[in-house]
Amino acid sequence: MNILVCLKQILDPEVPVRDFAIDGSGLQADPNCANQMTNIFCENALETALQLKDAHGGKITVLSFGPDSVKDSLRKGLAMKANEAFMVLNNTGHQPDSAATAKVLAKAIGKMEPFDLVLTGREAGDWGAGQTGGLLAEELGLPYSAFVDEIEPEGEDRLILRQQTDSGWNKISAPKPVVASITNSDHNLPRIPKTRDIILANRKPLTSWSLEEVGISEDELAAEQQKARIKLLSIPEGKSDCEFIEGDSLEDKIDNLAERIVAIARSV
Amino acid sequence: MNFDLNKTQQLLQESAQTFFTRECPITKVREIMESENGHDSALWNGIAEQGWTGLTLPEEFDGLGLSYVDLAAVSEEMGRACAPSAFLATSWASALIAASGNADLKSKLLPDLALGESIATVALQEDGSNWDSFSIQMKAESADSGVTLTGTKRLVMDAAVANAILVVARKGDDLIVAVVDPSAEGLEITPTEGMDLTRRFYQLVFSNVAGEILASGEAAENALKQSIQTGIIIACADLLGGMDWVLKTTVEYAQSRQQFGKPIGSYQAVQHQCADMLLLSESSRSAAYYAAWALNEGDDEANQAINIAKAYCSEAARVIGNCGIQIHGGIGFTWEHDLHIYYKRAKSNELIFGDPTHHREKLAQLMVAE
Repeated sequence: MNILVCLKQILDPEVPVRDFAIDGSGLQADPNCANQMTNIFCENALETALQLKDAHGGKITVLSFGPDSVKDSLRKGLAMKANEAFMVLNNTGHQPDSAATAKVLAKAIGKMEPFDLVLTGREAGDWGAGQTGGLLAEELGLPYSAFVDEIEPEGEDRLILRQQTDSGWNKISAPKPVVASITNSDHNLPRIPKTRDIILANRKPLTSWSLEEVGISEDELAAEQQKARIKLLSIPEGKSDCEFIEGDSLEDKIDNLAERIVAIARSV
Repeated sequence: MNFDLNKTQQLLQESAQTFFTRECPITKVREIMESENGHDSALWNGIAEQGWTGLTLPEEFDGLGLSYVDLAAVSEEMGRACAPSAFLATSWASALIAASGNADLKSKLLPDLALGESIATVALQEDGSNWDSFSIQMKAESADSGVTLTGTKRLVMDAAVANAILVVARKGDDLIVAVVDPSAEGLEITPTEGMDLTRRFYQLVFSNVAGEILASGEAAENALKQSIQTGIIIACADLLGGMDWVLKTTVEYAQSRQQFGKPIGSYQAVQHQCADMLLLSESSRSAAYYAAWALNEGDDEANQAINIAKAYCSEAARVIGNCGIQIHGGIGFTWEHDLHIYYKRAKSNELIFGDPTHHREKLAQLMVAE
């Protein structure tokens, strides 16, 4: 099976609140306030692909759209045992939204050999939009399933996708090729690359394309960005207060505490 | 000039951090501390699977042939996690075998050690707890297939779980290193009570125990020196990881713990201590990684750099531990808080391979010799 996994590089979402900052434009997080890392759901997607490859054979390609630093995410993907890596370099200095990203990824995928399965993370840990997978499927004209946590082949031409729902799972049979966004689960915890594979990752091919090379201009990308614009980002101010709950007995205090919690909840 | 780790080393260190966060959280550390011999097979197998047991060993013996900087990057994460394992003991022993020049024993022992299928340790110290080879008194007598050893070794790391013990002894005037099977007749292994429960030490009493000679004379002296330098790199990096943990935990506490309506970190007395901790930690990092680089490159300053790194990191970790406990107040002194685990590990790292006084003396000797 030929699988493509899209990897997004994001700022470490675990950055302490005190370190998080917005850049001078007021439109995006300061890229220097935290380390860059691969979005965890994208790593879940890669792990799902690796397990499919381990069980049924095939080839895995990782693809990313972003600044030069996305090479680090792709190298990690190769160290986890993806076969090859591609990137589309974003030199614009702006972070694209989901629609623009999907358009660029679709153009890049159009330049590659056909895939049986295209995977994205369920959402990214920075914006949490969860739209790239669906929009990418739309761009590619392929069927799509979101919140998938397990994939199995069904004969030669179809795949069974297990989709998490609020109350359990849906098992969906889909024809190849198909796009799926992968969610986290007990069985797709990303593997830790072994030292030997980390070294070997440097010897695997990593191809970098410019926007022009995949057939999209910076103007087109900017026009795509106009569909949804960020007006201003701000960090919410945290307020803390301490209140002592009075009462003659423990029961009284518990009752008063419960009433106070209800009153605060209603006022919010 | 870029002094940072390169991309591959960064990924190696990130992988090590993820591994220990996942496989050796502090609850696991405490569980292993409570165990009989301080060894967890699953954790050891995980470390071996990652390839860290053969990190700097030559590729011809199934090692990865990486640098001492790579070794430091991984060891730092072991220190950050306070991971209890036979990694230091085995790495020291592997380095001693690799440097010995004994082709037969290298081929026989190193592949299993590189793959983590075997654990080894070095029995060096005797009554005086001295790290210099001239203090070695244990007698080795010639025997049919090698030597027999008689005497007592103290503070031998992880002897209870080792598959091979490298014993440093004296045959006539010559220093020798002999390989001994831990189950050999005449060898008695007794645990020694220590303050750092993440590392276990043992007393070994030898009564005519048979051993195979790994190296003797000048070759043994040189191999022992080189292997101790490898051990020092690991100990210094381990200290760095621990220092960073204590610093971050303490700063976080200082920012959240309130006294008189304000975080305690807003008071200058606490700020100064935190600033001192950062200074010591960063200076230690420079010293430790420079030593690792210099040793790898065979730099002229390697010997000095190693003495400086060990002396500085050892003292810095102790001061950082003291500050951390001081800033935490009462809670920092309890068994339930994790600070004491790091403090005691720092103390064991301080003493192993020589304390700061020992290394300052060595440094002085090198400077005088110049």
